[in-house]
Amino acid sequence: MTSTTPDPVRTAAASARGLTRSYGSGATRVDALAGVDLDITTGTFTAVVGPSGSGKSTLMHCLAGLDTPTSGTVVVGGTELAADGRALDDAALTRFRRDHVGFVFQAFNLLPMLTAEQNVVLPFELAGRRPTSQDREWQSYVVDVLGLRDRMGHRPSALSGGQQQRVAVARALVTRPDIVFADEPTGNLDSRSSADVLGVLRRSVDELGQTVVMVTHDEGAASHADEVVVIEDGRVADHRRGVA
Amino acid sequence: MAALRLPTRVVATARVPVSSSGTRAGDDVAVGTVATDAALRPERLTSGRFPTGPGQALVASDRAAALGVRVGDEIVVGRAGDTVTARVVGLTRSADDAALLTWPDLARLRGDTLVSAVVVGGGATPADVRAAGLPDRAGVTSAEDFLQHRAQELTRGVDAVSAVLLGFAAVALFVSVLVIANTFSVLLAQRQRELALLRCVGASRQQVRRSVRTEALVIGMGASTLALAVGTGLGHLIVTVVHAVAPGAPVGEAHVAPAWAVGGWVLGVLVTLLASVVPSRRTTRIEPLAALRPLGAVDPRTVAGAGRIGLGLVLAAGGTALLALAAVVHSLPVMLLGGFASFGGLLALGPVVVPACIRAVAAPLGRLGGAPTRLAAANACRHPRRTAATAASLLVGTTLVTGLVVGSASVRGSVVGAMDHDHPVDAVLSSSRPLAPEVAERVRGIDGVVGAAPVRGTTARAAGLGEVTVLGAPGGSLARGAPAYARPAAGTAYVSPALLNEMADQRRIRLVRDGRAVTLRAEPAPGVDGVYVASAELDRLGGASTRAVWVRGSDGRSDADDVVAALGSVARASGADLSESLSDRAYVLLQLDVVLYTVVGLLSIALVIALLGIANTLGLSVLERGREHALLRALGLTRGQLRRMLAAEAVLLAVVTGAIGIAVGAAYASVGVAAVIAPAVPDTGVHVVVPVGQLGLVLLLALVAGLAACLLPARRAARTAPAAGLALE
Repeated sequence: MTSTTPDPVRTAAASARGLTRSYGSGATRVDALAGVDLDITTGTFTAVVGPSGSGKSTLMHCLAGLDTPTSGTVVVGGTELAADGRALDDAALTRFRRDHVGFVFQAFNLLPMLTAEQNVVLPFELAGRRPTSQDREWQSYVVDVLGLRDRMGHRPSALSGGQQQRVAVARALVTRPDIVFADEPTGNLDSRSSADVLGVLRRSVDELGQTVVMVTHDEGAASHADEVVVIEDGRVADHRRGVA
Repeated sequence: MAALRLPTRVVATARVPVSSSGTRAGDDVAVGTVATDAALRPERLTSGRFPTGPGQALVASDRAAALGVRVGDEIVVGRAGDTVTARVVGLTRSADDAALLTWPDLARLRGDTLVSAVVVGGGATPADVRAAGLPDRAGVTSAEDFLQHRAQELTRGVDAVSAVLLGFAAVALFVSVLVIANTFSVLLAQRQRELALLRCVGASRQQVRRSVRTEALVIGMGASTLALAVGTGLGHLIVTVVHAVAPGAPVGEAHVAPAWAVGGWVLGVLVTLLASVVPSRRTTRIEPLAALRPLGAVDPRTVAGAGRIGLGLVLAAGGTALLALAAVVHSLPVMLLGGFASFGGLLALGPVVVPACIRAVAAPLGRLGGAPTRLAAANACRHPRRTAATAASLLVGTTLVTGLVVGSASVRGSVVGAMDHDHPVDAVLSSSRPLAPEVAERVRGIDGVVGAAPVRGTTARAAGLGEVTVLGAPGGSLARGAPAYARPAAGTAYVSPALLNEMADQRRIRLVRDGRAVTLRAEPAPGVDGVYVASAELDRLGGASTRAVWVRGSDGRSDADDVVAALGSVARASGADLSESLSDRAYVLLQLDVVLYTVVGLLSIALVIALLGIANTLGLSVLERGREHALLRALGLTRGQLRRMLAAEAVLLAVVTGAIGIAVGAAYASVGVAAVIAPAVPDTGVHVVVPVGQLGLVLLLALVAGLAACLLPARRAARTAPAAGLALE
């Protein structure tokens, strides 16, 4: 359906045009991204795969407003993060992440001094707003879908790796963001927990209508996705749609 | 004495009143001698010239201002019937004596003169002086011996000052040990993986411990060398600046004593080594494969934690009991023992007490301050032992400062009470003739005078006393401490102690004027001249007119000498005598303030070290939490919120610790007042005074210190981009 849309930048959950990101200068200059054009379709599960050092993490950081591109245009959820070398400032990017993006990282997802529940509602806390009754219903629903009901009072140190990642997913979903970025979410997990977390991400797309972008170097993990984007040497080498 | 032609100087002082045209300089002031021989004359003139013989005097320039005396005026030295009059020929800068007379003049005063030495110079010997017929109440000393003796006296004073300074240095060193030990603990906790890796590749426990202690030794030697260089440089700099700014200041050349320098260096190294003992011993518990475990919080259920808490409870309870005992039996040793024990107990209980207090304070604050404050509170409590160790150094400083501030305020209250009792009225202008009604008005107009009222009076005869001035107190709030004579009861006369002593029957006084007589019950009234009676009694005697003006000075910072000088000029213009206690009161309070501020100033070194300790721990914690901060930033924590979070953590720690220190310090001061100060002044008594303003300032300083401590760590944490922080391994 994206192929028939006249202006994909407007309807895609996230778009990049001519995206480059370089580190250093002169002889030590490294081009992590060397001109990426990409559209992430709303309501799909997209896997970004590629070998180590291919630039897939940098791509995710630029799409998520964690890093500022050297050049090119990035539009996420209707917000122009960067265009023609100009980017939103740090405060605006921070607000954008808080209100529009959910994150699941490989490790260190949870703050050790907060309980699972406190970690889940952290985005509301940071935004300084009280969850509405709708927010609370949604939170309760997400927690049930992820099977975390009886773990919410525990601190991260009392949870297994898989449970910790599920709490991280719950936190990413609880604000109903435009897009969820997951950076190697199964990197530290055994195969059973991996399947568990991937299933949860899959269900968030199918049952909750969430847009999810997952960076992974694990082809098995990528097989759960609707679309697979292959990054090599800072460029999109392949974009396979309708995989799942 | 006039026969003395040898070059001599009699060193003597008398404590007597000094007045000039009716204005008196305080009650009794020190009057010393000045030599006519220039070789035996250390004084410096600010104007005029030195006396060349009897009948001439020097006056200290600050007293001259208070008395309204200029060069050429006459001053009267001594008590009624035993006075010497001299013309002021010069003003001098003297710290001790209000006025300086030549020895023949001072020797004419019958009493009160204390001769401390007779100094001879110019080749004369003590024997020559004795042959010349000097008063035998003085010992005779050669100029050389006298100088040596004075030098020794001064050196003893300097030694005492050195001892006090070293005491404060000891406090600073103790705080340093706490800070260094905590820094080592945090550093080694962060290096746990490296140390575990060393153990994995074959290092023994002893080798790991030795490597850590060697590191401490090297750091201690480096820091001590640096400190020695900086300290010596600073000393030279201060001396140079003093010489440049005030060329005449009595400051010698900077001098480094080798023994002190070496001793200080060794002490610095030892302190660093001592501070590393406990943290380095903890490294031997690191298991080779425990590398990935994060530093755990102290757990009261573990054996070590329970032991520490048990010891803390025993020390705190025992120390408190000893303090209570000390307050009852008035024993300084028991108080010191109880103080050390209870404070040790508090430090041992710190991992429980400090986080509990932080949580209690943070709960209501978190509702106002939002997520950053709540996260800060959680962060401040996550390593209770580390939090307690950081708090300990600040706790020492704030407890000592509060103890001193409260103790000093209590002593001050006691001293003020005693002065109010002895001198209820700040100043009295009095005259044996009626005073013009506008005198009180003019006095009221003086800056630094808060009230003045005319006092009606008359002259009457009393048996054995002759003519006495009888006054009716003006009432109102001019007198301090509400003495009885300020509101005289009917049928009672309040008599000055001097007059009372001369009465045959001290219980009754009969006053007669123009055939009219009243007989009154006599009561002693300290701090007054004459006799005070109720208004009705005064009217029965008749002939009352304004005879005096009572003056109340302000308690503010207005210069007492200026007020006294202004009062003196009003008194002279209206032909009244002035007697005042304002300058003595100001002087005594100034002494108390100087002692307090000096001691607090010295203790502030310990506070600065504690502040560095907070900054240090926070800085290391920020490094440790790089990934957490990156995660929070990714989730939408703004830079400002991150900075606020770290600021809130530092401020919570500093303010809560400060509050604990203030509470504990005030309690210690109360015990100290009850155990040591109250028995020393059984007559006036002493109450614990808690100066809320000053203690609020201590808390405010703790707050500012917390903010200052978080500046650098917060800047560094906020600068890290979230993506870079996530890449940290």
